[in-house]
Amino acid sequence: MTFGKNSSSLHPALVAATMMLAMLGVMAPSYAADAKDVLLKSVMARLASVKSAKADFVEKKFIKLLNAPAESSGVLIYTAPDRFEKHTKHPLEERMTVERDMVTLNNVARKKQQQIFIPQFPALAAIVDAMRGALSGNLPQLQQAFSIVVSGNSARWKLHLVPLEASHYAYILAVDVTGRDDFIDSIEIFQSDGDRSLMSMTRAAP
Amino acid sequence: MPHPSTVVSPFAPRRTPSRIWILGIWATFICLSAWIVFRADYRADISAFLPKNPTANQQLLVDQLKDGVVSRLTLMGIEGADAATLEQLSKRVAAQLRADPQWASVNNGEAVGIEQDGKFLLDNRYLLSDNNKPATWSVAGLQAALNESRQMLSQNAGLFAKELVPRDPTGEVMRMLDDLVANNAVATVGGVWVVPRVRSAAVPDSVDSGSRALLMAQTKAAGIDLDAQQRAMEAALRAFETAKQQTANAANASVQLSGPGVFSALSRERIKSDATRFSTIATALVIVLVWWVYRSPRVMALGLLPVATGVLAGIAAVALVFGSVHGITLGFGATLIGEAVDYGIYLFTLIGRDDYRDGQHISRRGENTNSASDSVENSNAHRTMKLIWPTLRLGVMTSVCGFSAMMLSDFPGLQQLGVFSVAGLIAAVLVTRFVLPNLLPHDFQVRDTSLGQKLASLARAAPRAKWPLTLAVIALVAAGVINRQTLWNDDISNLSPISLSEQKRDEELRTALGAPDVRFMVVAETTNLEKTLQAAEKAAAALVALREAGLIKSFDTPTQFLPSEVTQNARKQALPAIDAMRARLDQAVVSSGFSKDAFEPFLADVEGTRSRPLVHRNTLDGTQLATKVDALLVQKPNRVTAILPIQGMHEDAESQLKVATAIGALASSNVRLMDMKTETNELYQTYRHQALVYSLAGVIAIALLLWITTRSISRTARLLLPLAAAVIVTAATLLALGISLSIFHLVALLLVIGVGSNYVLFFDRQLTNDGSIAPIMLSLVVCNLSTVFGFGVLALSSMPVLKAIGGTVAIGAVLSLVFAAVYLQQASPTARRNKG
Repeated sequence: MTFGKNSSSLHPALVAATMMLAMLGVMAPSYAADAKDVLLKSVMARLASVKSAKADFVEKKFIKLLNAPAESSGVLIYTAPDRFEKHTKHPLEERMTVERDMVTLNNVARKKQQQIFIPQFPALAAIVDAMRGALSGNLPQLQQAFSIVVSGNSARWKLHLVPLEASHYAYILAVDVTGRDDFIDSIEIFQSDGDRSLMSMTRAAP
Repeated sequence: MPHPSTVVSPFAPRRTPSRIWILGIWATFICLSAWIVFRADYRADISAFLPKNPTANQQLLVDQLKDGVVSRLTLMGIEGADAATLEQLSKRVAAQLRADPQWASVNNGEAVGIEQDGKFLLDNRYLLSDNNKPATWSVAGLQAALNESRQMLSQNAGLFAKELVPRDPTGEVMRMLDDLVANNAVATVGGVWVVPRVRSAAVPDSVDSGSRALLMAQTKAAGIDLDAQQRAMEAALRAFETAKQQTANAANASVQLSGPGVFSALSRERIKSDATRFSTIATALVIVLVWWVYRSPRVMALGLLPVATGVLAGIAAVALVFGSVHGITLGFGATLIGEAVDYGIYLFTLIGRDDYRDGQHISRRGENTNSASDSVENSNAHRTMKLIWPTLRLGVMTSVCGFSAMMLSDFPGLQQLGVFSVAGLIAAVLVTRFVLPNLLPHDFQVRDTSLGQKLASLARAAPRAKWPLTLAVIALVAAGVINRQTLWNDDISNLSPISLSEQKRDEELRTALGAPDVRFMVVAETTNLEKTLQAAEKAAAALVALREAGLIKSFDTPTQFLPSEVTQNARKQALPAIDAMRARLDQAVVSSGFSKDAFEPFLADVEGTRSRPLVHRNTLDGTQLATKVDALLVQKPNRVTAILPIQGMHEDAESQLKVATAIGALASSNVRLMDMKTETNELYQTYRHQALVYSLAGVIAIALLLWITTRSISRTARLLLPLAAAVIVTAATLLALGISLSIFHLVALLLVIGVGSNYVLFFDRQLTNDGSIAPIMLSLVVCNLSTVFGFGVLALSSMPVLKAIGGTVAIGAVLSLVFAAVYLQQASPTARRNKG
């Protein structure tokens, strides 16, 4: 309550200034929305200009069952407009290729290959939509699947994606994508059961 | 049938009782035959191609083809709409079929029964999994399993596996599911199987426009029950049409059906409709020809009487002898037209002309009536009939010899063919002999005579080709002997009435559904279920080793979901007591990275399993797995067979030998490796071999018959020479056209001999009698053209059986006539000199 007491004894000029700021604040959203719109468009445009990219990744899965996060790492390769390959090298080799509506899981360690039609698995669909939408810089596609909140600036930005479709939302609460300029440097997935995964990327030599 | 010449009537000479009797008997015969034909049971299944006394492997093949679960499978592919519409269509079709009692199961990917499958696997995992063994439950084993589970959680699939881990830390359910879906998880849209029709990434069209909804249904009726398969197929099509009406944007949607039952029903329909259609066209052409020659509607109609009677008699005879008529036999029915229509033509064309024999002219016929018979026989037709009868009779007898050999065969299909032809030909010739002369106008005579002269002058030039032809035939025989390995086409699939594109689509649907056609399988067979399952488990163990060695890709076994009781009990024993398990787990968890109390659900399940009843066949009721087990387990009284289909086995001899050796090493007479393709083809080869042997026997019988009739070896040889040349050149022509010979060609060649022997006999008769071939030429050419028309049309059919017979006989008939002209005339001057 000390804070309240202090605030009540503020200088009238400061109160006035605060009120002015508050009034500005009321007006601010339209400016901010416009600004955010501009930012979102510029971020997506930059991402869209990337025709191919290659990054080293480290993925940490925070799962309640485990005492410590499960960690894996490998290389992520993107080719415009909609193909990407996640090549996990540690702890077990695995290749996941996403192309059009098919995911191919090649579990090298267990010699198992599986093809999955993405719409079959809503959780997978949500993750793929988020990753591919961001990688391709395809704003309309991304807006179809998620409500998007952008923050930061074009040099250091963050997209907060919330699935629009109930069947996706049942598995995935949100996906946070952060990046610098035209490079995505993290994708964090918040699952509905409280578990989450964080994939961090660093640019790799092409 | 009474012989008309023995019946003498003192009454009305134009309408004698003998004539009425003959027509009455004939009409009764027609009615009876027609009644039998309409009531007959028609089949198109492969049973006619199956031997009566099969080997053990053949028996299994026969069982599978007749009523195996695989034979009850109907595959449906719906396309021509976007994925969402296809989903709707699929759900609506499936709902209708599920409500229809003739289907045993309907699967379209919908979660109907999937929950039961999952629940069954989860509940019974420790009875079903071969990983349930003491080593798994040691501290080290548990540590390894937990380590693996933790690694899996770090992988992409971890997203899906996460919920199972607390109950199933050793991953038993995942392992079983992996085996189940193998490499062919069918993709779904809205929970329904919808796959991209074009899988190639190179095709840039959207997945939606190229999608296909898949359904897989099983009839309750056996695959061999064609009427039931037909009903099921129609029900499936109706269900689709109804669904299409109910669904928006489905106007362009189409459905394709596939599967053994569908194919059988379709082939029956096709053979029926093609045989009917082409026989109709052939008949129409023959009618036009006969009209052109005789210009009389009555004669035209009469010419078809022997054919119609013959076909009816043939089908009726088969129905009476065998209880059912096979579609293939019906297809051969068209072949009778070729020979039977000739009988009438010989008669019609020779009426009047044949009097040349006695040096008499037609105008003098009145003076020639004081013979044994009265006015009943006193028409041109009767007189000509009497004159040509010995030749006609001999011609029919040669054909009957040729075809009756087929009746000795071990295969019902060939027997039916023999009975059909023999009965049909005899009926046709009897109608020609006794009925036709009574129905022809009293003074019937063919109008045009100049045509015969023109044809005769052409024919007289033919013998010039004798030596070149003989040399060519010898060369062809030599070539045939040298290339005898490649003469015959022994791949039975080439004989299927199902088109290549349909076979390809079937393969596509099967691949998409992960239900490939299986070539290799291991078969375990004993007298009871438990023993068979035990034998199958041994075989499965051997196959696992082969899979590890990379010799095979995968295999299925009924013991995957229905292990033997011995095995299930052993697995119960392998589970440690609950306290021991908890102690070991606590130890293993410490270094695993999992939280300490993560696995309470697992311990509860282990305790539950110890008191669980064993899995029996009825435990599977309500799951999709039941269908799978039933497909792999054939239960007959005193004989239970487990089938372990092998996928991805290398087809080279070395790999096959290795697999066969591994299976043989089980040292169990109850287990054997089977190659369905080889078995089927061997079966067909036996069939073809028998047809060949009996055809040769038929040819020998024909030769003997001719020898007995002519009492001259050299004359017999001369009569057979044109036929042999015709058969050889026909076969060579087919081979030159890139067609390898099948059993159908063989039958057709036999028919060439049947038809050709008539040409040769009539040609020879005329030469022997008179030396002038003009009168017979018109007759022979009309016969020949009718045969070429009749069979040439069949060659246009898409059914291999009709196509083969049509083309072969059309070529062979022309060659027989030409070769008769080439080879026989040389004898005529000699004959005349001898006479003179």
